[in-house]
Amino acid sequence: MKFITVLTWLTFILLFSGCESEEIVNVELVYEEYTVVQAELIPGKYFPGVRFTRTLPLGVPYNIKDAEIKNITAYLRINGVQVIPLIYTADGLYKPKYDFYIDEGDTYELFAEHGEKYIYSITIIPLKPEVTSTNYDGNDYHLYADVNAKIDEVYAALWMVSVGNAIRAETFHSVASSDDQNSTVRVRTSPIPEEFLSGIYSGNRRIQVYALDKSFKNYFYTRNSGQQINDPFIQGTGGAVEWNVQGDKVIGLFIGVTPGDIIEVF
Amino acid sequence: MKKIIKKIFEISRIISIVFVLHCCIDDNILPPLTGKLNPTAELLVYFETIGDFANSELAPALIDAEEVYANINNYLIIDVRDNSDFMAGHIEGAVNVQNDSLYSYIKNLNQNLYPKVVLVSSNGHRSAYYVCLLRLSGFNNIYTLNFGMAAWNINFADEWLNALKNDSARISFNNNYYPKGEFTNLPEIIFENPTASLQERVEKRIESFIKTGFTKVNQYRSRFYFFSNDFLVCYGKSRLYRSPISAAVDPGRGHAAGTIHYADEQFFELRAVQYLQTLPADRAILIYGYNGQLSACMTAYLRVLGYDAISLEFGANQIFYNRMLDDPELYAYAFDHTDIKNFPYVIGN
Repeated sequence: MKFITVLTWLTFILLFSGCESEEIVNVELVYEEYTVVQAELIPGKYFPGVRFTRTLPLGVPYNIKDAEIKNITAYLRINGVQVIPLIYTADGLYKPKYDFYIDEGDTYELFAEHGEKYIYSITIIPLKPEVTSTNYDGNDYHLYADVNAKIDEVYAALWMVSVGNAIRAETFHSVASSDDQNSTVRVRTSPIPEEFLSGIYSGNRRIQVYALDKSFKNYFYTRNSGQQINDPFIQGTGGAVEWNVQGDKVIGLFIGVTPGDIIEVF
Repeated sequence: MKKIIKKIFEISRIISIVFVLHCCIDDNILPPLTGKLNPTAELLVYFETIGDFANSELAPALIDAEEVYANINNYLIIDVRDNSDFMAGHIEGAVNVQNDSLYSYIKNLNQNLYPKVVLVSSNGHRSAYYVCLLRLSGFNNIYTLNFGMAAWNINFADEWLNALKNDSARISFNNNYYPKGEFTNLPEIIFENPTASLQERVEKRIESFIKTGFTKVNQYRSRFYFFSNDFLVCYGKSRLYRSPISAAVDPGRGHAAGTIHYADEQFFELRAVQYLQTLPADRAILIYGYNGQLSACMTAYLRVLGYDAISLEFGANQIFYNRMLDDPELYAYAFDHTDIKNFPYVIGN
């Protein structure tokens, strides 16, 4: 009996150590090819197409001709019914043969197949964000807006100054969301650079709020951690990033974005 | 005491098993997404990738008898009529190929040898149907003889001439606009060779449709009549659908009640991006056009997609011929004696 107990223990120790060995971190990055999917759907504009590219090994200079994927079968499905074929054009971009407009509130699904790989994504085009108030924070010179939030959407904002040509922030500062339907969330811009606070720009401040499909939140924070979709980092393994495109070794964002009105902030 | 120690050992062993199993399961990896694309959607992707012939200005790829006659030694002329009809008279140099071998004949053809390949049928409907199927399969050099052998010589024009009618009892006809329905799912189809490449699957499907033969209705009254249970489609210009009220010949008598119009111009309303999916997948769809050739082509397109579509031979020429002659926008699609060229033909092989 003792012998059996000892033998059992030995077996488990061996098993245990075997499993543990799989957990050893290999500092050398192992290249795995990922399919990268990108599309931004803006209501009132033509559907711009979906870009399918592949990740490249670290150290290989990024070149769209190397990264693009040409042999994908892909189509959209609108509101669960209408099928729109997508056709390869150039640089991995798959577009509809005939232009069509994106509509607010509609649901767009992406279906694609690449070899044995199946790709799927879904996004709902947000309604135009309802801004209830705006203001200027003089502490770090940013603008903010209060927005009536919907649970399937997140919100972000850009500052803008305009004297002749409009100058605007290039990136969102943060995204805001709410788990409660019809509650109000506050969304802010990045600080306005000092050169746009005085002189001809003085008092000329505007904010534009964007409503985005909620999956943007995940994308935004991973991207801000150095994982930009066009960044060569993606040429590595891609990690455990979950955006809103499903599939085996697939990463990407297929997302509805609805810009709000440009509002002057006093 | 021994019993307690033994129990502790047992419990710790169970915990160990659970722990070991737990650590062996890789909880980082989500199961890969599995699924298949919709076969009908794949067909649409294929058709649009190679040009979407059916929904373009090229359809139904008509070629006039004069051009064929002028190029009789350069063009390959394929007569798709029954052998007995072929023997009774055909264009010189034409080869008689039946529908069951037509696809393989075209596929094995060195098309570079011929500037154009022309399909010929009795009245232009069957050949338009096959041409559309072949074009959907990627053969871009195939044309259909406009009005078929009827345009070649008066001796083959009886069917066409007898079809030209004005249906005086069009009681249910009106000029009302019947709106298109809600979008519905595409028909469900099954490829014969599901593991093959998309191109191979499409080719196989088209070949089987050519082998099955042309699906038509030759008499308007047989099904395109009032209170039909079928889904009635008028495919063409808006003038084909709604008659100008001021026309003395046919005032306000546009189409049968319930007929829905799909335009063949500007946006080509049977494109996937337009209103294709407002067609029902579970009802027979009866299509009439100007003279039956374009509707034959669209029938081919829709049947391959899984719709139960049927074309009306001779089209509006057998419903309101006078209106066709009278309307300057429709006149070009009307068949009359000026379309019969009386070119020579040969009898026998």
